[in-house]
Amino acid sequence: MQATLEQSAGVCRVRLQGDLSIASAAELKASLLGALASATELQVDLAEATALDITAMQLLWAANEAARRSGHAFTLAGNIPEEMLLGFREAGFENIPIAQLSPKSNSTLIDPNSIGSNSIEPKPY
Amino acid sequence: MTDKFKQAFIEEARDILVELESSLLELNENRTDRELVGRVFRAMHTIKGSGGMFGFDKLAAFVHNLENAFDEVLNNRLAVSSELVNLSLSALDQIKAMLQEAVGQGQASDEVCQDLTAKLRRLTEKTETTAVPATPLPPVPVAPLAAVTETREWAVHFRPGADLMRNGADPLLLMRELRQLGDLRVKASLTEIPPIGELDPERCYVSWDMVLTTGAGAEAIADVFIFVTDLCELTIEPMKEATPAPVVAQVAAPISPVTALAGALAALGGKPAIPPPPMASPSASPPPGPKAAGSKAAGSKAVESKPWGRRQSDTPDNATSIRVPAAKLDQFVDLVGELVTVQARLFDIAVRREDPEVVAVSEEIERLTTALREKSIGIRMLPIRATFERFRRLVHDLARDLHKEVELTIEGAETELDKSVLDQLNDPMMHLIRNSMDHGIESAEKRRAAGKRPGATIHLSARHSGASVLISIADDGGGIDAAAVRERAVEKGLVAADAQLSESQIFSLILAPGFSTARQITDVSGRGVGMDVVRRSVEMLRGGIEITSKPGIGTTVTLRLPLTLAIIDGLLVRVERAYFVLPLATTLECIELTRKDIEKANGKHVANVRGEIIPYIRLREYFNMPEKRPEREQIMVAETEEGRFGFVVDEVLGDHQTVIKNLGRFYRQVEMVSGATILGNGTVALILDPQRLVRDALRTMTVGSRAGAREKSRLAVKEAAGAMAASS
Repeated sequence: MQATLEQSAGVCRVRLQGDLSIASAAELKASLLGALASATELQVDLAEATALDITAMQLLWAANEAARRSGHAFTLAGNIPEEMLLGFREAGFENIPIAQLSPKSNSTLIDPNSIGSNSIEPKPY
Repeated sequence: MTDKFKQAFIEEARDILVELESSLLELNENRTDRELVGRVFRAMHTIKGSGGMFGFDKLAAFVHNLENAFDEVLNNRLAVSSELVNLSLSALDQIKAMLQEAVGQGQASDEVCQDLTAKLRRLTEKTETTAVPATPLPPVPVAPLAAVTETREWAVHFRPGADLMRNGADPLLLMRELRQLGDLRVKASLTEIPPIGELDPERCYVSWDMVLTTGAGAEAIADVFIFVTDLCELTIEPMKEATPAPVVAQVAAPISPVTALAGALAALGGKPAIPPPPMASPSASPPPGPKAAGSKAAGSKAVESKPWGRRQSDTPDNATSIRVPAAKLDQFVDLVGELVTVQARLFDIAVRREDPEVVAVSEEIERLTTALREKSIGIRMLPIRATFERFRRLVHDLARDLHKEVELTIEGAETELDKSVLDQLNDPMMHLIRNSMDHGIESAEKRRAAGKRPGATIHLSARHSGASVLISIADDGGGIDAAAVRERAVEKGLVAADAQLSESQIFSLILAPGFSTARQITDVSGRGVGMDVVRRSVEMLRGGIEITSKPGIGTTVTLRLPLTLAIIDGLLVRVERAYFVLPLATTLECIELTRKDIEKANGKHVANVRGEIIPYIRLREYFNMPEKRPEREQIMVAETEEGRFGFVVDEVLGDHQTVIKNLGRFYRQVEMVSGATILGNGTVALILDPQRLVRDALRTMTVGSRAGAREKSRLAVKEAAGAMAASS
């Protein structure tokens, strides 16, 4: 995994490339923490990610939570590869805001209201 | 990281193989025990699965054939035969060789591998035409699963433990595997994910509630999680009442096409007579339907009355124990030993300074060190089970080769012994069992003629007795012909022709070096081969051997072994300025020896202890120390194989629990000293071996070259003490 932080006017864009797996989980956590500390808006770009495991998903979720708590914006930016979306879906994260994106949308705001929704009906993508 | 996991796999696989071996041998005795078949199958499945997971593809492929064979057995399409058991045992050897190869030791032969694979295939292929008679299975085309199985919904709750991902398991992959069983709906619960700052990035905090719609049974669902059962919480429950489905249909697992086939066949032809158990209680055991129907009955039995997914081996101990390389443990015990020495020095100083505060601290430290030492020794203690179980195979193979019927029974397998003792126990026990099998146990015809059961028994047992462990190897064979042994011993000049010998003394002659090798006496008495090897190994362990035998009834060889080799309880004694430790275990009492006593005995080295005449060895003389005897000396009376003997010393300083240090390679020839220890003041005390001291004294006495031998040992001991003092 490779994480690149791009800062501009209070917005920090974290570009993640390669496999986001347990091997790089500590690194991802550090990058996300760094980004959270340095900006008011966090954009995570998964366009070049090639794989995503549970450790990465829960880190993204935790980052999202942290941003929400401090009133910052958190978005998954960029075209998320279909494979990553499938991963989110398979892990049952489909109702989880961070994954509730269409692959087309460039940047989606998180809807805090949908957190904790209990439905297990699959959502069409 | 991968290597670490591979290593863990290899170690685990070795454990499983040991278990597997004994299960197979047990199966050979009880060929219809379905639970055993299930156990064997699961062990193989585990090896295959984790082998594949860690990149042992060749191994996994090989085990696959073996597993298939037992799948056939589970499905009643193949009966357990000697052929299958022997083939499986050979296959186990091959798996062991493959594991050895993986750690760079030796090479597994590919030919053997192919040969075994071919034989296994032939065995399993046969089943297609010759099914077990009890279950005539017509050749039915495999129906699609859906056609024969009712699908139902299962609620699966899966909560990975803290280390699940660190151990290389991936929940996503597990769920993907679940999806292969049927339609899966997944809901992740994220409530346990901590704030990002406190989050352990390598731990999975997510848990899942899933609904799986499948025709597979709980067993098959649990099988998906088979490698992580220790690492997660898992519950599998049926959601709601499904249309009554034949039990067999539910157990058909798509995991194995063979199982599926059996399910299909059973559903079409077998017609279970008993309705399925109420769905609300997943723990209910499958009904005793027709044999063909119980395709996985043995498997589910193991899970009976336990939450699904938890297996028999998952005792709490398993889940909470850790694996540590033995070398690390040895280092630890070594360090504790050093600590004991330093503590002794501290205590010494504290007493000399007469400082109550330091004494108090020193006493506290003493208490802690003692506890620490006991605990550290305890860690090294292992049940003898594995050592005993290993001999099942030996007995099985030997019985086959010798055409004898022998059953091995085990008692007290939970008795714990120090690992280093256990490690060195294998050889002597193997020799003893071989002897029993070869010479002790008669042929079936002979046994019948003698009115005995044709099947003989070898009984291994272990039990504690004070600071020792008694291990006995008993057979119900012909026993030892004491007269023949005696005759032979006289012939060899080991005993005088008119010597008065008790039976046990005669039997112990067998242990004499060279007694066995010269001539075959097996036809007369049995015993002999390698008995002095046994004696030597047991003596190395500071143990003793006792043989009892009754003609026509059997022979029992009992090994008395110390619990541990690292520590010895001894009595610290002084002769001049030299310190010695005598093992407490053999010491009976200390009595005073005055000039008067010596005069009474006319200068002979014997003492009268409450009417009993006890010969003694004066260590001062034995080690050739200056002839300046104190007015009062002390005799330490010790029990040896040769009877009671006294050792005369200047002073007895008290009991002393010591950590034994080896003298090193140079002093290996010094027999009468079993090691050395460092005292509180930094001096070295040699630990004496009373047994060998007495034997040496007797030998030099009879040979008549006492002075020469004494001189030799004195020099060696002196040298050893000097070297130890120099190195400490």
